[in-house]
Amino acid sequence: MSNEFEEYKFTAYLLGELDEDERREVEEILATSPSARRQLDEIRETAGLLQEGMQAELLSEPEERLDEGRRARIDRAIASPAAKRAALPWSLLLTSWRPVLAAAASLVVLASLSYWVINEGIGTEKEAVKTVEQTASEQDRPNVVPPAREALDYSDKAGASKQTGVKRDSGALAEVAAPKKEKAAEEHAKLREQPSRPAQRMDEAKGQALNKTRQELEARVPAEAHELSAVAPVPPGVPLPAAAPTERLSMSLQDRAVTSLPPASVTGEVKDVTGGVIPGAVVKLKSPTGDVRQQTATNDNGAFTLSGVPTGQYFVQAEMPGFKTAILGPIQLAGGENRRAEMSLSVGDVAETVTVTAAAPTMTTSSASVASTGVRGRNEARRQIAREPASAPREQDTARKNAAAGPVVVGPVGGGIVDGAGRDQRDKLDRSRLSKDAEFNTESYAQIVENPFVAVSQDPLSTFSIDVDTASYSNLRRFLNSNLRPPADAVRIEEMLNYFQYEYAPPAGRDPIAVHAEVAQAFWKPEHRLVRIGLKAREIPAASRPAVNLVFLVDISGSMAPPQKLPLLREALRLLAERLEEKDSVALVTYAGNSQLVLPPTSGADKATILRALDSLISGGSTNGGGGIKMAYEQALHSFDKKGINRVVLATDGDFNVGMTNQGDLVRYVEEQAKKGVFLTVLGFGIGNYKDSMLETLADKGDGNYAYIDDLNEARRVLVEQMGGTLLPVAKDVKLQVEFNPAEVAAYRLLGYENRVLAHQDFADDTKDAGEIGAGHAVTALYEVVPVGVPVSLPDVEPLKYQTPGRKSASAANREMLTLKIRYKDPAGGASKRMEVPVADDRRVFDQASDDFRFAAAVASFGMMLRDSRHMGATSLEGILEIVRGSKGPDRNGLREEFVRLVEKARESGIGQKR
Amino acid sequence: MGTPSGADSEWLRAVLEQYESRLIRYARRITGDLELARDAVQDTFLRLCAEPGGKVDDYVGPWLFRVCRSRALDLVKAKRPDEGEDGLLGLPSQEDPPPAVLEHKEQLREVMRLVDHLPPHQQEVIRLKFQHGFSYKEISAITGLSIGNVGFLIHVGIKTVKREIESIAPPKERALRRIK
Repeated sequence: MSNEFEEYKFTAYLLGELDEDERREVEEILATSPSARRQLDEIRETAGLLQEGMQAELLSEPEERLDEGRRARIDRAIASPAAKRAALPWSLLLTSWRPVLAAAASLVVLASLSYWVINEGIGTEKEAVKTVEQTASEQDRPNVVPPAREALDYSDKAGASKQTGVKRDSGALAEVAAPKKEKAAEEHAKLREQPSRPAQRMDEAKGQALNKTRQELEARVPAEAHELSAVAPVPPGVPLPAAAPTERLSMSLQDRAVTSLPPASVTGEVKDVTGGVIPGAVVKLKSPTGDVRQQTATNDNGAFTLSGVPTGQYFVQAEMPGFKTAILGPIQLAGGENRRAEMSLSVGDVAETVTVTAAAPTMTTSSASVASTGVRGRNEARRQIAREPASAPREQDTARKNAAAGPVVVGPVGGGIVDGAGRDQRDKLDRSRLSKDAEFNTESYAQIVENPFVAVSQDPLSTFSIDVDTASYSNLRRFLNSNLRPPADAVRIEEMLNYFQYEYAPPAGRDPIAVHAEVAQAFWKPEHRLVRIGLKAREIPAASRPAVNLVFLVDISGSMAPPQKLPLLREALRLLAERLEEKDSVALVTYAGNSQLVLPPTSGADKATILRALDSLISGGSTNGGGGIKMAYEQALHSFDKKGINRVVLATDGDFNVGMTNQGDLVRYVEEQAKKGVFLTVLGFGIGNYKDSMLETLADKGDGNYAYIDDLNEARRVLVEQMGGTLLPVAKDVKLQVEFNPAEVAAYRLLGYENRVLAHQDFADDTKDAGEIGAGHAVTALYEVVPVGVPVSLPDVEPLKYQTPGRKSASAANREMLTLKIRYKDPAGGASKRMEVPVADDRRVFDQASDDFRFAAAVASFGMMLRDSRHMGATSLEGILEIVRGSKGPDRNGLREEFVRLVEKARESGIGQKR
Repeated sequence: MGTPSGADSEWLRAVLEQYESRLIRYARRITGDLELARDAVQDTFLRLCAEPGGKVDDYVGPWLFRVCRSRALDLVKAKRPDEGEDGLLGLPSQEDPPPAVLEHKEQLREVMRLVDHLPPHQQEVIRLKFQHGFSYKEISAITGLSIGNVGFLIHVGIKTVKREIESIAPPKERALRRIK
């Protein structure tokens, strides 16, 4: 009774590949026909055999890995892709133009194809399928953009024909080449002016020595010269395409590396994280291209010496079986220098490498040296390491100041960061936010030590700042979508919680903030209670706020890579996006080498799409635009709102070229558009005090305004002003202090907010900053509470000699579980105002709690699972899925549904089994 | 330092760890040569590093396989230009004669041998499904075949294997060994 067509469907049905309608069809057939069922059984059996056989084949074949050389190349590409894209002077000097440009062009083409993805939404597999084909097939098309690196990489295999491919491309890009060459020549000139010992010595030993060394180095330069921007370095031995500019530039490099200088040396120790020495570790001195220049091993004291090292740039690598390989660098060795390098290895797989960037000559890689200052010190020390590369002078001063701080004292219980005087190490919250981006710039995440349970008898107060940011959620999403388990320290529960919107009633009285609390069971430990605290800021009535129609024109060239530029802008835009409403429209045009409409005018209600577009903003490419400003204005006019605010917001670091070569033309164009009602705002990032008259003129003629943005606070304020000035923060320096009642509560634990914990005395201290809350914005926090009578294991503290704790006041008998205290300031400043809200437990079971409560609890539980938290209790992905599916609610912006899918993905990937 | 997101590096390393050996295995089937396969996989990861962030992330598995496949085919073609459009090779399969009666283990070995004798596209698709765990849609994206094609190839592959197995061990005996 079978026919081929149905049989094929049976196979698909068996493998779960049919859609709902087809599935029902097949099930009907199966229900009525025993022969069909037999057929299905046979197919099932064979498929089972096939699967088993294929898996057995898998096991019988040896697992092959990449060899060291290839692995090293990939590691290098991973370690500093954007640094290369930023085209620092070093690499400019070393490379020839054409591969760089062609590579940049190929990036842009890929970017434009990928725009397609964002526009259509990655959600459905179907689109993803199409896109995989499109992006991947770019490589297949021969003449369009063979990335030059390909040509160079395989030129030894494919011969001359591919080289001509490179030349052909460069012809097409010649017009783009000119400004870039100028820029490089400029930077080259700057470099020559920079005083440096080698250069000075060079002045003495010019002439003969120069010729000699040039010949010597000519052999080496090709090897080191192929650090192409953004893409793979080329195997040594491939000649540079000869070009006069290249020679001129590379000569200055050779000027610096003179062999007549005394050699340098590197000495140090290799230790493990506890400070124990590691004898017999192999220490290699490597060039930037990965070639091993010298190799030695540590002695019984874990010490090593590398001597006779010529001046230059190197990486120091220490490896030992059973440990992760550590790489320190790049370090620049000057003639005669003796550099100290202490390396600390953490346990792991030798194939894994941990790279630490040396910011200063005596910088240690260690987490070992940090371990001695305790766990909290480690958080701070990592911040310091993170801050140094940020290169904003303020940051470095703070870091150095903090480094000088005394031993760490145990302050408020919780994962906070305090120095010896009990003051919070973070000067301004915003700066720590900035360094948060800097944290993401290092190879590892700042470690989060989970808040433990605290005995109310020891510390009845819990104090923290309500500031939240949501950058880590997108990171999490990215890992999970790739079927990978995110690292524990990338999982921040408060960020996950606050990514979603909850229904809180806005304030009714004179306070700008409404405080909500809900108590129910903690589903992962039913004897525990869970307290959900929500702060909701006053909304500005929709009528009084005009709609905004914004088109952001963003410079995403390589120079925008540092944390105070593009990442800062991204962060600020994210905050802005959260405040948008349905009547608002936002679009995003990027320019770097070409202009792209990354986000067409999108309603403010469609947060998922906007956030996705923001996530995709990444710098790379040269600062040459074509028609960028025109595209931006066209979009603005396209979605023009007569009663609203229409603006093009240009975000740049000053070095921009938006497609009109003649300044006069640009100014005139902007003036015209202003007459049509579209104004221009110019935001200068990371420019510092340098006033750019061009930017100011533009803003002036564009009937707009300009601002220089150095940190998140400013960015937020400025961007919020773009919304018509009515969506100002409604309260600032908002702090929360919870006092638990010892008659009701034995212990409590704050979920997340480890980095926001404040010292108790900071609550009432108005000089201590905290976060701000914008109109309509909400912040959610969760406490897990152990009621009196429920056993909880807490570390014992020795009884006090001079005091008898545990004397309760009369209030303890009023059956309240806790009192919430909030302090905030008006946006205009002034003294802080105080609110107090007592909360009692009405003994609800989990299922009686609201949708929002249950959803939030599930999100927190998922976070705990991902972190492998010891407090995660009895939870499972199945359980979490059941809860979130049943508590999605209206989910207007689709974010909860997306979360459901993420959890499903996690389950498919086998996450949730013990690591 | 300039990396917009150090999270990128962490993620890239994790992806490398996860997919490295799978991709080499897959590429080797195409190239027939381990070193070429390694080249293909290296280039695939280098391309991943060069991809602007945020775009590939949601479907990195099929993307990697797709890119790897193209690259592997290119490398093979470069080495053997007369191979034609379809550069898919299989590993040379053993020429053991099928045994008369099949134990389960032998059955599995027989299945492996049979798959090795299938036409290249069927082999590839079956491995992508049963070894790498991709869905029809993902396999379609990786190989460039239509979803319908993919389903058909898998079905035909299953039927062929079923037929061969049956000819060796008649259904009666197999029924005795049925576990599920």
